[in-house]
Amino acid sequence: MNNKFDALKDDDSGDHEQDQGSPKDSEKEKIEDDDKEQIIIKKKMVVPGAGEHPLQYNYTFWYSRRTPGRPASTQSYEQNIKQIGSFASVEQFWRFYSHMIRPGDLTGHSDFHLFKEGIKPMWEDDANKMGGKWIIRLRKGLASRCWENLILAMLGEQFMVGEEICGAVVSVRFQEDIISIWNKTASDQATTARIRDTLRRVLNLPPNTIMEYKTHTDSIKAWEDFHGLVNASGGR
Amino acid sequence: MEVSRKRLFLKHLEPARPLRRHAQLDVARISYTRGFLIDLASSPEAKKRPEHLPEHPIVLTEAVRCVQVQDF
Repeated sequence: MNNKFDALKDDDSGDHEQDQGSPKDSEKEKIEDDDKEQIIIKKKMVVPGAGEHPLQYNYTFWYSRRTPGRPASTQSYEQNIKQIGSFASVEQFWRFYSHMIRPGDLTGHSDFHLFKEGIKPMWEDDANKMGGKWIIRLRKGLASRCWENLILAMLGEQFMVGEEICGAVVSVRFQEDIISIWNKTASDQATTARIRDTLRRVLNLPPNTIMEYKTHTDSIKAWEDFHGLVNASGGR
Repeated sequence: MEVSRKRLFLKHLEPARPLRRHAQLDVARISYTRGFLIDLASSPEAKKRPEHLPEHPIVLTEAVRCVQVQDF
């Protein structure tokens, strides 16, 4: 339903152009419900503002933090992950980014995720389930700069792999930080090689930096094996 | 005279063709270099607080500059 006029058109007999005084209670409710629906749609369908620089895709920022002592499962992971906001233009991206802590200043076991709007930062999402990710482990002190370079390359469409990119993650851990970029098709070697080469170029990493590609099916298997053995404690 | 004026008026009311814009977007992807994106970070539009920002420990009250601008 596009707007409240369509809603009225569908429901009544077409006499809504006549002045009937105040609407009946049921109609009033309908209009209010529809306004609520409009607000939800507006929040979901973010568009570039006038004069702003549009992005190829809309994106959503997410944040997650492991809560100690709670059982880890797909369900609790989904509950733990918080949506910060979505954007459609370069200017809107900077507005969110400049109002968020830098990854290097995060404490504890936490992650920032930046994914295309509509893709959840989860292995199980339809866009991710056949996919995988490039992982780069970083010594402490590099995360903020590398994360910024990574997401600027993604938003600026520097990877040149069509629709393949799903999103990027920075994971702050105890002794190291990890950045990763997720793509749709793990079996597409031309795509994964191109992503790797672009990563090397845009991140300006030291030559000895190790890059590892991991399929999400391997990640799921490793996670299930581990949690089967240690009785479900910890994150993913 | 009257008729032709009316026709002219109606011609201006022909619907726009929004699909043409989308067709163009499909051909060329919108790409930006890192330098261009960083330059835009300094624009006043980029520093405004987003409308629907949740209250959260990782959300800042004041905007901070991007890492690249901070360091150089």
